[in-house]
Amino acid sequence: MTGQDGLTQALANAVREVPGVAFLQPGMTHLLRSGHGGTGAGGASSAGLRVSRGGPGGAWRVEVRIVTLSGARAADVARAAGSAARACLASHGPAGEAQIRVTVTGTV
Amino acid sequence: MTTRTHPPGPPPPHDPDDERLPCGRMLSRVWADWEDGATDAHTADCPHCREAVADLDRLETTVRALRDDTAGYDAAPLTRRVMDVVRMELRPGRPLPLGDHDEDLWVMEAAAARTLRAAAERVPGVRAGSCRFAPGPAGGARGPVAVRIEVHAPLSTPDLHVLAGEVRRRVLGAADRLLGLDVTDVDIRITDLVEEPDGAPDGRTEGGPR
Repeated sequence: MTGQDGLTQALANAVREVPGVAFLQPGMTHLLRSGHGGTGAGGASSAGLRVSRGGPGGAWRVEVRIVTLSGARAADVARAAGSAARACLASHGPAGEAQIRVTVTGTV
Repeated sequence: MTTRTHPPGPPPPHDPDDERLPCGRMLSRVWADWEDGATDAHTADCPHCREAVADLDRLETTVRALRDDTAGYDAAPLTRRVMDVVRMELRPGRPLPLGDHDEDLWVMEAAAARTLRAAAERVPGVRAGSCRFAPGPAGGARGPVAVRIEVHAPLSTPDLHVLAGEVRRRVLGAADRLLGLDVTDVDIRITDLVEEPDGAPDGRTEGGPR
């Protein structure tokens, strides 16, 4: 597992813990088309969380896609998810600027 | 009353979860047409389209089997919720801004539309149809949005303006309380008047815009 995989995993776990987050977007259409049963309970499905970096030492870019619980206010959950991701990045990843985008793709 | 058709738009080109089938059709469109019962000569003959429909059917069967495995637990709502998530992935629409203009928070149009339609339907007898968003007067990717929602109202409604006002209040409330979406305008279009299922003089059941 490369460093970035570990970081992606840590970010996914951090976001999942946020109250109001039902799950990371499961990318079900890909699951369906590939004929596989699932990504595994601990996986960060690629649709739910993407991490990239603009070159060595460049700015981090994290894209989080979540499905929220319908009783929670979407903007507040998204904000909290972004904060959780930022805190996780600060503690796990090397220093650097980070742009964290959170998109709510559905509610359950 | 004006009615406007809103032909289903193509999914955004950058959407990673949609897929172009080898025959050239978008997966999202094939599934949408199948659900709406709108088949054409192409889908009837095309092996790729037929396979795509079979996949969707298989997913529904799998979810239903999951429900059946859990004895005594009515997971019909689970089935619906799972299918809703799949559908929203296929036809998400575009991202709408959440929170303050300087934040990087978004909600996909399909998800926001569902929330606002549900809010409109809290007005007794109202059935909501299409819910569309446009940039508000301030413009910009992070600016407030204008909402246009189509509804069917009960035939017995004494004052449609009052009803529309109530729908508008619910939609604005939901946009703020449930989403955090800044809405400037809510345009309510009453596209039909329908019999209510209970107490209708001739006992007919009403149909909604879906």
